[in-house]
Amino acid sequence: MLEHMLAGLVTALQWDMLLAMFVGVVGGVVVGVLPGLTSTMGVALLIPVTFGMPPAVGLAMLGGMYCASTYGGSITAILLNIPGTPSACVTMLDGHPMAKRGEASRAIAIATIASCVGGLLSNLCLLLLAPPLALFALKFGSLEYFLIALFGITIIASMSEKDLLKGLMSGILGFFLSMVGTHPLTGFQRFTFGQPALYDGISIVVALIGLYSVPEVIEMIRESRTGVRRVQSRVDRGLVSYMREYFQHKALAFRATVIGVIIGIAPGAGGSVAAFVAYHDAKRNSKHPELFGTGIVEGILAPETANNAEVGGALIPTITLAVPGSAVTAVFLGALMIHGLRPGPGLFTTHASVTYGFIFSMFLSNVVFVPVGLLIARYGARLIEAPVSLLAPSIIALSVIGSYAIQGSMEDVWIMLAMGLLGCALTKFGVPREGMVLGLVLGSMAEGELARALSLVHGDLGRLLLQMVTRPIALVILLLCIASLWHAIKTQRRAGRLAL
Amino acid sequence: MTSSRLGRDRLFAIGTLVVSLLLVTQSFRYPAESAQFPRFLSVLLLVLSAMLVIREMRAGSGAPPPAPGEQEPALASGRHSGLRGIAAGPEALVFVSTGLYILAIQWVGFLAGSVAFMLACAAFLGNRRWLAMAAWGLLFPVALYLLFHSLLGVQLPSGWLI
Repeated sequence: MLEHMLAGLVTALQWDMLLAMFVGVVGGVVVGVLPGLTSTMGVALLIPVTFGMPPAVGLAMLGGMYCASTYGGSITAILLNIPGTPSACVTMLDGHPMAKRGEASRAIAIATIASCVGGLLSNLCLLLLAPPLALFALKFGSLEYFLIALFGITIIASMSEKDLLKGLMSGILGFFLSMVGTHPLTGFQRFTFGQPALYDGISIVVALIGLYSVPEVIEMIRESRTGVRRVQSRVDRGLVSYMREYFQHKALAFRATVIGVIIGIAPGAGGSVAAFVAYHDAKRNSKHPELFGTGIVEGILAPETANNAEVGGALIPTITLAVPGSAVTAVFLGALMIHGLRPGPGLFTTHASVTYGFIFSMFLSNVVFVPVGLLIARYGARLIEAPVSLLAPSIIALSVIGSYAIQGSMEDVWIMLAMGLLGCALTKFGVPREGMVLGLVLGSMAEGELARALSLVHGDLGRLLLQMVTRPIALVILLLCIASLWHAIKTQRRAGRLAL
Repeated sequence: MTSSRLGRDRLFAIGTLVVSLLLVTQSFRYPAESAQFPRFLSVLLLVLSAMLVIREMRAGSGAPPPAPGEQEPALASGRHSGLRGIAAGPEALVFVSTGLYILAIQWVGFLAGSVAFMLACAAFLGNRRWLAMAAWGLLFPVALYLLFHSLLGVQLPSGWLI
């Protein structure tokens, strides 16, 4: 194995590999920054470009795109309070308040370092632990996936510390939005009201753009009219200083990485779930949980470490078992096949130099996106100082084209605007939008996996409940759900806010 | 709790109660095998909405009169400005202008529609630096067009202009 790894390292350091990786990284940061463009779209658009390339070079470019686009969404999330990618949704909670205080450079630097560290550590798992972790992935069944979704619901509860009832209701509304369209098993159309545009459901990206960008533009205009000035960016302290600050939270970074890798290994959950779970973990273990949401380092560090750690985790079942963990890894699987590489043990033997070359190029991608991202962010940070009269219509134009670009459909743009209306209403009534986002992300997974789990026990609910306590992984997740919910209720009662 | 926040929370509670009743009704129209989850969730939402209504009614009956100049606390992920803020200028401006923009790009095309939108919005929002406004109003849509259409291969809406 060692000689294969060394061969892979030598491959990764060839000039064509480095160039392809760099192009992928630059493209990935741009894709991540722009709302409406996702990692999946970026990787899918790059595949035809890699047709004429040697497999290792093509994969290096795609890997660079994947890593960097996962990170790039944090830049827009921090600067504009609009998530560039779904997984950056959580980074906004503390990233944007920190930026509004005039510490945009600090927020972006922490997010960048966190993404780099999370990505590097998860690639280490990919390099050294892929086969045993793949076996672990096989132990996840429909019941475990349903319980992961349930755990997500309890996170909604714990994140809604200001008002538990409103938070839960927001999450349930998110679940309903995820059910618009076709039932995953029966194919029945629900909540479409005869509108063909809704037959395929509501895109998470379109919903995110609407929920966040439209209310943000409205707030921007209101602030400018009331004379509230957007805070100027202060002087940058330097990357080394921010790195020292990051490594003051080593334990948190490690936990976030583990969370990201495990959630990445479990197909279906994705980077946004990893980010939410890591944020929830950071808050629960913090001495000052009340500071989360005000712009603290831990609130950026945890989700960004986790969502980039999810990348390496998601690639483990993809390349070892041909089981894609998410839409982007499904596209990656297609790319592997196109380049004549069949996922499985053969990748680490017959095509070892290509596989290990790809893994080492992912290491390099996680390092290269640091200066690329910081450079793009340096100029992007000036955006928050641009006149609102130019910034506001620019964000709207970007939101419109971003929503349109997903499926080339104007109906998606109207859905984006409707989600914007919903986002404004939620903001006005003090309802957290994050609950709705999590419900939207987890809804179809929860329903689909519950239906499959029930069908496996022939509809016997008692047997299903028994499996929840007899299957080890299911039991662990169930206990985590109970602990999370109990913590949320206890916090609310202590604060005297759980008035039922 | 201020009276405006109380009114807003009551409005939300009643609104979600109505929405949950509609969702319950709708979900029970679907066949059982496709509707188990929505039925469960709609009933759960109904229960939570009812709890919220009861909570707000209790809060309303025991609420002290607002202190002079009392500020409303900021909430977790939203900003609010009381019942008066619900029908506010910026919301109407953004939704109407965006709606017109979406119609315009289908009619005249993405590039022409976007340029018109950017210039009109900038002027309406009080920008009087005409050169900067014109430059940005032209350059930004062109940059978006080049990025999405030329580089990413996304077919943008085309109308009778471009």
